[in-house]
Amino acid sequence: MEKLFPRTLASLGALTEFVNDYLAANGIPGSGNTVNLIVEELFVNALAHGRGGGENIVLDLSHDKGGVTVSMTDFEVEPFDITKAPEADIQRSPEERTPGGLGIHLIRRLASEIRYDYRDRRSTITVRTRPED
Amino acid sequence: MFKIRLDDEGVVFLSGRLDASQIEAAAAVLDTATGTTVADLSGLDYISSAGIAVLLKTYQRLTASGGTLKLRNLNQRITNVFYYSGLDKILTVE
Repeated sequence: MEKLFPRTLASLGALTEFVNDYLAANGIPGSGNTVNLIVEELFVNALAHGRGGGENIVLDLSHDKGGVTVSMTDFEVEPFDITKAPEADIQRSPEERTPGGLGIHLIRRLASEIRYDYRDRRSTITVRTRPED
Repeated sequence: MFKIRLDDEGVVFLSGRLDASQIEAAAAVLDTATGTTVADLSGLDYISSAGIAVLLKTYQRLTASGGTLKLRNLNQRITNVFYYSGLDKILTVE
């Protein structure tokens, strides 16, 4: 199931509602925290790195026995392959850490698979979730 | 819906969903905290990396001036996000 969302932080509430409705309708509400976290981090990442960017971003959700798959497509953007982004250094002390930059790390931590596709100035990130603890 | 308030004893209560759209509201209150501050997260249902960042920034500001930020009453989901972020052991969690 897919839906368009305006490219603004104000869309986060609507994204959450869409995710929760999808999970409830398909009898998998226990995955809500993981899926919402992945969706928010992907969306915020698109706002931060999707230079150029169209008016809307598309979120597509699907699922099977192995878990939920989140796919986010951004239009008219420069490529930004999150699978090649550097690892966050989470071993440093909190005094030495730079706040921010954890979003991609959290996606990696929650995903069993991440794919990136870029063609015709269209960027699609697909994340398959791990089952929630 | 996200809510945050600082009580007279210096305890900050956060509840609801602390996502990237609520960072300014969270920072507006956290920036007024001084000394050793306790953040009570018992009402917090959800936190993302943006929420972690605003708490980490507060921790850094307070420790730089001799205080600290302590977290208490985290539910399992919130604890997991701190754990995934590598901050569960080093931020003081009561």
